Amino acid sequence: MTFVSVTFLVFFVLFLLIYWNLAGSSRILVCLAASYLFYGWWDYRFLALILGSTVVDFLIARGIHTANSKSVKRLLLSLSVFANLGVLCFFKYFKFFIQSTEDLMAQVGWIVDWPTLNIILPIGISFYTFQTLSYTIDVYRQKIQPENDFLKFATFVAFFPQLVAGPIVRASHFLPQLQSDRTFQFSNLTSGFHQMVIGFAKKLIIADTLAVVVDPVFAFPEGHCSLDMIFAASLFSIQIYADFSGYSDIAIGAARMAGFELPLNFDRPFFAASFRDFWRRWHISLSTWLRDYLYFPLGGSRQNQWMTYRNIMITMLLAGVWHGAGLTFAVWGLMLGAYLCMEAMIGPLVSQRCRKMIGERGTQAMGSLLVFAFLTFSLIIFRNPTLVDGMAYLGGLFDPNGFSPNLLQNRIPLLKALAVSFGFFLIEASISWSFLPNTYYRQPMLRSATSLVLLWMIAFLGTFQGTAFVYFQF
Amino acid sequence: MRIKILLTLLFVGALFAGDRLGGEILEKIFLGTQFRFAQIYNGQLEADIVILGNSRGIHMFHPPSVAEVTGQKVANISFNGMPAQMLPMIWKDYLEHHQPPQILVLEVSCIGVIDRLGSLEQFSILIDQNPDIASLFADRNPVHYWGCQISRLFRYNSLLFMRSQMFRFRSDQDWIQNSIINPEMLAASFEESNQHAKKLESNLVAIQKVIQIAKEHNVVVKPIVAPYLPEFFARLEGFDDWYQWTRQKLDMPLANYTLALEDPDCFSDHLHLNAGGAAALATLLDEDRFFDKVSDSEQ
Repeated sequence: MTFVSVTFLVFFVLFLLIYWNLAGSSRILVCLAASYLFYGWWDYRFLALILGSTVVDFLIARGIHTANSKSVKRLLLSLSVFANLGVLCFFKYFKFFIQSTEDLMAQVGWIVDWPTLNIILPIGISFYTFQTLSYTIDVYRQKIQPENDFLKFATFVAFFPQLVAGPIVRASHFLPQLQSDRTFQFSNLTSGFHQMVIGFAKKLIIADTLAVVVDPVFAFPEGHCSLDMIFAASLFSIQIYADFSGYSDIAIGAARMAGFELPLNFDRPFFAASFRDFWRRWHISLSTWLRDYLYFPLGGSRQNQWMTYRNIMITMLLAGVWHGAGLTFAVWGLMLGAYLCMEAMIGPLVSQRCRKMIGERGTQAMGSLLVFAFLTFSLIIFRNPTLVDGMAYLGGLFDPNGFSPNLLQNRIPLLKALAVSFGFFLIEASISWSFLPNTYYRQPMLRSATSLVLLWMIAFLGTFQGTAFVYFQF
Repeated sequence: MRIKILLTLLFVGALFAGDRLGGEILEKIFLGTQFRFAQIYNGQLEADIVILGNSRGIHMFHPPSVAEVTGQKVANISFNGMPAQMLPMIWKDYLEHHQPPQILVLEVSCIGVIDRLGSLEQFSILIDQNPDIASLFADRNPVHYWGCQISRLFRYNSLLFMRSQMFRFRSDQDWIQNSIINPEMLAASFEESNQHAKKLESNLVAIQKVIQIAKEHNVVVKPIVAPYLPEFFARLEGFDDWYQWTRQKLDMPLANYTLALEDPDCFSDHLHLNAGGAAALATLLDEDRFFDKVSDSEQ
């Protein structure tokens, strides 16, 4: 069941009606049942996996807490890490490794045909695996107490608004909210609804409208001119942001309507003046997860410069591979790591000089433009099915004969895509540069009026082709 | 609590009222353009020769070229991706708002075309204008139909509406995709799966209905299969069989110009002519006296 469907809207309204008419543990039970129904709608077999993962981490965390010896605690933690990453690797990377090995062996003339088991990637596995993994690690680090109520823990793992594409919620953030009964507040309902409308607008007006232009170009770049390819690559960066942050907004809004607060996942990343700043604003729940559970344990920036670069590269490589099995994701991660390292090396000097030449605002704008350009460049590799395709696409960008506007295809959809992107930029800019008065955020009437306008715009400008959320595939 | 329920109802009321008002405004904006479908419903496309078909209808019969060789007023009411089943509805609407023309040129290769996804949906803009179009939507895409019933703004959520805005101050009758096919596009066309001429009964019935309406209004009908790029046509399987079937079912002469133009420079892609190609075809048809008022069966 995807958010952008009539089925979900019916499901969600029914859920809220039942949920708010109950209290205590029966309310949590309804929440869990709804979450399993939501997840099982894709494939009921996935439920066994999420249930298994929940049971394993529930028991291991309790075991870690009660174990007296440090070595037993460590053993149990290793078991949790092994179980979670094992499941993730099996479902996500097994087929890739088999096929890559077969290809490699075929190159030396050894033809083998191993079974790939026709594994289907369970939707959202990367998200809830990281969520449960952080729980056992936090229990091991004694940052949190283990949850004794299985019902509550299972609800934390499977909570449907954020189950399939995040935000990746920490136990320390979510479990305390389950300890007390949520109280119904009309203001939460309206503000959650408003947040959901924003999410739907991002998805339907921006992301899916841009997909109409982007998808054909990436599917058949040879049939398009350089200008088309540049537009498609730039628009893809906006598409993936609108798509993913739209999902997060819907998740945050839906959770708020049920009385829960989820963490912010995006904070206008294209206004970041540096890549370091960018990672504080883009997929925040993943970047902070990687920072806390990988980058810091590796040593972070506490050691010498070269070790810091090493840690950045390892972290970004894993961030890339987290998205999927394939060289494209690994190379994408390495490119992002390289940007961060380069920025650490020459960034301060360059920005100091820029400030002298074009001032503070100019430097920030220049930084944002560079971040967008470099990110777009890396996303070309990310978006293509293979590295060879990615390189071919990059090569196609620079055909000197491909810059005539007469060669552009799908001009009306392109015009629409550019118009909605520009509108989106203006809205984000007005928030970033504080054009909107503070009273706006405090006025429910203004929020309702915005929701109305957005709903009208969705009806008039939205693209309803049933395009799946980009991050579902991860 | 009562106030909160009232506020919620007020929000829903405002949502629907604004939607209706917005729909009304967009309808006025649409009908205020010189786009062909706006002109049909405004009665601004009086002509001696009317051309009807899908995108091949547009690109084969460029009104300025046909007008130049015939010296008559020409209106092209074809459109890209227009489903064959919509042709009788558009034709009927044209006749309701205009004097019957002398000749209807009917490009019939759409009989063999399965509608692409979304090709009907772009015409939701016309639901208000013709109940038959609304019925076609209800039948073919009920979800979209109900979407249009719930929201009037949604009816105008179509590329057709955006396209109409490009013709606010000038007519779109001279519009044509004016490029020359390149080798990459040619290669891509060979990969298309639709390379077999299909005998689609429902499309044929729609074309028969167009002819019947024309006869009721004493309009001479000139059915034709316009040119294909020869390299593509060589790969189009089952055309002869399809042609004989269509001709027999229409029970009237069917002009076959599939290989009338051999120069690739006449084509913008494998299915469509560019302005130069359309001018060449118009000249050829005029030489063949295709645009004569006498119907082929009388000749």
